[in-house]
Amino acid sequence: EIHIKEPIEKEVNPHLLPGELLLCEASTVYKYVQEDGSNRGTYGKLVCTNFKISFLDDDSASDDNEPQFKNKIVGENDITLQCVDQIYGVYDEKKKLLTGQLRKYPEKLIIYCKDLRVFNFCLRYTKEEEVKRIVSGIVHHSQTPKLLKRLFLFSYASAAPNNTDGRNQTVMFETLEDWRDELERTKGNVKYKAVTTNEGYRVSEKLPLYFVVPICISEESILKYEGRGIPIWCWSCHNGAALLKMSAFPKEQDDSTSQMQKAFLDGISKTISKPPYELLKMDDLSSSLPSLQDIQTAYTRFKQLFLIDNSTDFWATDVKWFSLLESTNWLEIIRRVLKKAIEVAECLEIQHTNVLLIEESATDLCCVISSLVQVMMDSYSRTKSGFQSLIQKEWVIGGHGFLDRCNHLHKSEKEEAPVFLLLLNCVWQLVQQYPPAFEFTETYLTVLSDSLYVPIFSTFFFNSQHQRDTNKSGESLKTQSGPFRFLTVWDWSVQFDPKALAFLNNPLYAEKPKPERSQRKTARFKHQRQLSLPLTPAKPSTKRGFFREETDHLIKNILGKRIGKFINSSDEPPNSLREFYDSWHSKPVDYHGLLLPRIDGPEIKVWAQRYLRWIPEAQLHGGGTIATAAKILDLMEEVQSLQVKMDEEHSQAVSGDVHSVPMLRNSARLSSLFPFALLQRQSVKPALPTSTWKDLEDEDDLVKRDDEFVDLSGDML
Amino acid sequence: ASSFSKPKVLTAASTLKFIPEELAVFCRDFRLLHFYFPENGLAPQAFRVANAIAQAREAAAWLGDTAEGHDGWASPGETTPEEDEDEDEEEGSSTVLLFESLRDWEKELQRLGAAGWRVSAVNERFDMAPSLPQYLWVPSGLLDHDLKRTFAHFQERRVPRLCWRHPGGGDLLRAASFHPASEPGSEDVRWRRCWQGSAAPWSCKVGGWKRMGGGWKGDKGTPPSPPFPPPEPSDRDLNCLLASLVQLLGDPHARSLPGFQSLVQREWVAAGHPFPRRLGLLCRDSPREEAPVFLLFLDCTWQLLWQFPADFGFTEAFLLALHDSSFSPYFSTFRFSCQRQRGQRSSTPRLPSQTYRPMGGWQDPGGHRGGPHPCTFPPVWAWGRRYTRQQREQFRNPVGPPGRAESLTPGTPADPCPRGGARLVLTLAKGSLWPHALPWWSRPPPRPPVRVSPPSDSQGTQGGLLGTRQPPPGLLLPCTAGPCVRLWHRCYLRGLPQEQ
Repeated sequence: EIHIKEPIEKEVNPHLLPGELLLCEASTVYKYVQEDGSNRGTYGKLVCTNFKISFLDDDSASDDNEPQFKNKIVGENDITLQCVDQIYGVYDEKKKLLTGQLRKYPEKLIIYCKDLRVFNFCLRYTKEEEVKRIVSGIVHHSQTPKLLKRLFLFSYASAAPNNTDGRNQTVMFETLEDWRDELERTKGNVKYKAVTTNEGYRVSEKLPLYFVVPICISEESILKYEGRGIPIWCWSCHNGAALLKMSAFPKEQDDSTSQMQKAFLDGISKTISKPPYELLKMDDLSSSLPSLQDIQTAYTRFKQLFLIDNSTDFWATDVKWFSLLESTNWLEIIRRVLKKAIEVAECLEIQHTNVLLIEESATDLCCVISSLVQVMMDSYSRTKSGFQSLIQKEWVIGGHGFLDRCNHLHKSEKEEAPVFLLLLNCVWQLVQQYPPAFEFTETYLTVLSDSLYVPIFSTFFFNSQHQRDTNKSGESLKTQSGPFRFLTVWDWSVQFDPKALAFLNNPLYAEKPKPERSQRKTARFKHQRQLSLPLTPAKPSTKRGFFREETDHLIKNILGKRIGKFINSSDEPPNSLREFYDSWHSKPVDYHGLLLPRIDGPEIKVWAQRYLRWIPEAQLHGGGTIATAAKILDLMEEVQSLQVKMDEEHSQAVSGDVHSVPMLRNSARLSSLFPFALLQRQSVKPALPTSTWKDLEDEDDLVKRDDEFVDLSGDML
Repeated sequence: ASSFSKPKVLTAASTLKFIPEELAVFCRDFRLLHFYFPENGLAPQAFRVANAIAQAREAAAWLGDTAEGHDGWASPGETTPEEDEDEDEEEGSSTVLLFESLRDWEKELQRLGAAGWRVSAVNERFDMAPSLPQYLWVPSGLLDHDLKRTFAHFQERRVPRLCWRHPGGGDLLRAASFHPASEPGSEDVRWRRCWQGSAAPWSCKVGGWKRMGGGWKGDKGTPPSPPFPPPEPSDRDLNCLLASLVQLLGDPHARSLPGFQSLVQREWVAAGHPFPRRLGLLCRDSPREEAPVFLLFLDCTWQLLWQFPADFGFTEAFLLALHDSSFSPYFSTFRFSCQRQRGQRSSTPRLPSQTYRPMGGWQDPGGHRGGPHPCTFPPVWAWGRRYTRQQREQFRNPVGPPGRAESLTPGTPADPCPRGGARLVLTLAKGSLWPHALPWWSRPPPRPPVRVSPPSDSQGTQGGLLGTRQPPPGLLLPCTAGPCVRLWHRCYLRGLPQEQ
């Protein structure tokens, strides 16, 4: 059944990073081409290092056409240990989850990755002891609990040449200066101050070294409850209203303690509700948003839709696609989060009230909402460096527990929740709805989400600034005297070469014209702005507008059930919110002003590039939005070259640095999932069997699959 | 209408038993108009208006069905000053082939480069098949004399005929299924031979058909496979849909604005899709006759447009205009069930030329357009009547293919296969292609059906071969998987205030 191709004996060596050690390897492993179940594939060597699992193709020499978009650190056949989601072994056609100790070794290995790739390895032709070593090695290094110090991050940091260039535009928020600059930028410095109270982490290990509070808050009150109950500044709106967050007190059994806490809170809220502070609106996110548990459950189901073994599976589930998608509830969660962000934006923008987000630790949903609000309201956050600074401020320094939430160390499944992915999904909805408003592309968001699992950057591998600082010193390692120099993920040149980096920038970004820019640059951006206009024509208001209010009224009254569900699914929003939302959407979009996502059911989409990129069945050759973008880029290039010609005609200093618009030109028809979809090979769709239309009953099968696997894993142990 | 927020559906038959407070009108273009009658003495008018609207709606439907020639209707063609006429000509109507004249059929056949086919005028008086157009594309080797005998074998006498020729040489045919009473085995050997002789090397496969959208896959490059007629019992509904979708996928010309209009004109209007019944414009007919086949086609087209925005010469706005115009009584295009009916209803009935001429050298003595005198109502393609110039400009896709659709290059048929022997005719039935459609084909099928299976190429053992198997230029391969099928929200959700 397998097309036996004589394995060519050839020495292929894995490409190792500094500090990377080869742990075990196995040769004559057969890697299936995953999508068609036809047993086609290729022989090679499977290796496991302290950084990644890698498949080395025996005839890699034939791989002469390099993909345009390539990650320098993680190759096409590399899986970082943190990226492994689940590993299954196949024993006599039965799939079993592999965790911990193994008694029997499988003939096939299926690796599901967190970036949604699926690898199928056949071990039938591999020597038995090699199978034992590689399988237990892979399972041990990727699935069992780990010490923080054993992360590859540390070996890399100690071995790699530390030439961090300081010319990163991203504000890291590690110094007091950074916070002060941010206060100044948002004009919040009148009412808020950056405090140094937490130097030496004497207030709390969860809080950052420096943070911003209202001026009237005293140092004693910050110290009193380890920073709990203290409103911490996130961002100030142009009208002075501020977004604040606060970690709540845990539920106390003791009555007197809770009385005291309540009095403390009342005192705090009184001081910051008085002038000069605006009215305060509190929002307890734990009651108004889905719980982390719900988010985790939804995402687990959702990703299962895309972790597809082969194309037969794909077409089998495809007939039920919409109901399966609906049952995961993931898009609904995105919608609720976006709606909450709109609510907050309305309070800040229209009602001029301060908004205080409350959450137990103020480091999960608080981060999501506050980041989203800033992306929507602050056009600086829609530039690349602005967005990176925002992530740095709210998440990395803000103390989001990346280590626990991504379960990088396999310590506890309970803590795991894709909170940061939820933010990226929400931002993607905005990027997709208003592409010219963002300096970055969806590809940027996709590679950012992938970078969550690349342990050479410190950004996503600590729970807090405190944890990072204490582990940075490197005292426990004798080999290294000085502190570790960690890389930051924002240095994208580590992962991508300049050609690939171009994919992260949106060429159609409608940049704010800045007077101080050099002449040439401004001219260039002007062109871009003009060219981007036809994409989003300001629609002339139709004559139907006359009936709009009546229609709205009627929908609420008579058709509440029929149409209304598109508008408000769960809870009726306050009328002012509705008004705010409607009136904003009735005006033409200002890409540098407030940006509100459309949140009606059909507008919330699946992030196709991230989730479908490895599924060849779901791609379009020469289609998708990339087709339009390519046309526009062609046009822009033409205009620019004409511009250059004109300049030459006028014999004004011929410029050498004409920025050529990146890529896209050489291949005539791109895939809609460009620049991913590396596994593109045309697979022909089977004629839809009519029988499958009938058995739509067991819709939950796919989403339940997860649970079943957990059961099976019990057998193994 | 509603009173105290109790809604009640109004029909002409039902009498309004209360004074309405509000009147809600649900429109077919998904608008929802809502009128409120305040209580200051307008009550009697409210009552009358509500009843009048309900009755007028019913009456309009009756009129459309029964009134021969629309006597009572003001024909806009006569009453309105035609200031935009020249512009219309330039923009829409003139470039659109209406397929009412022999010339149009000849011209299109020439564009397709379908050698071995000819235009037959055998149905010029609609006596062979009342629901078919006057002119048919049939194999050159088939004489009208023989052709006439085949009509009886097919339901509604709708014989197989050419729809489209793939530049690679494959032909797309359409026909109704066989008449239950026909015994074709007894005769017509010649007919069969003609089919075999005409079938050029073939290359059209058809893949999955999915949900409301999705599509058809015309694929080129697999071993030459033969032509298939997609028969459905009537050949007047789904065949229209499939034939036109296949052409949208395979023919860049059909994706230009005039090309698309001609396509609709040929595969729907001329082919006799019963628009009035299917769109539910006639209330008298049983509602079972109503089925939005044409709207389904528009939705499928939108899916394609959405998936391949750079390959179409028209925009979503154009599809929306077409969608809404299909209910409009002012255009002739969607008012009739077939060419014959259209001809009969014309104000000055005129017998078409009765002379039979084989092909070529035909001159219409009457003028530019021959055939039945067109109805006095303008075709829907005269967009200038309802849409401003500005709106019409939005019909054209700025990022679409370069304005003038390049004509198909008929040359280089994949593998000219001159042997007249075993060539396969595939029929589409129940979602798959089957050989051996014609019952008089007594031999066993020469080849197993081209089952859609993964191509067994040995190459492709290594992932990441970017673009090794790109589809040939001009061919669209839509994705029919769930994630790629979308809701046409600009169409269906137009009524919601926030979508405006």
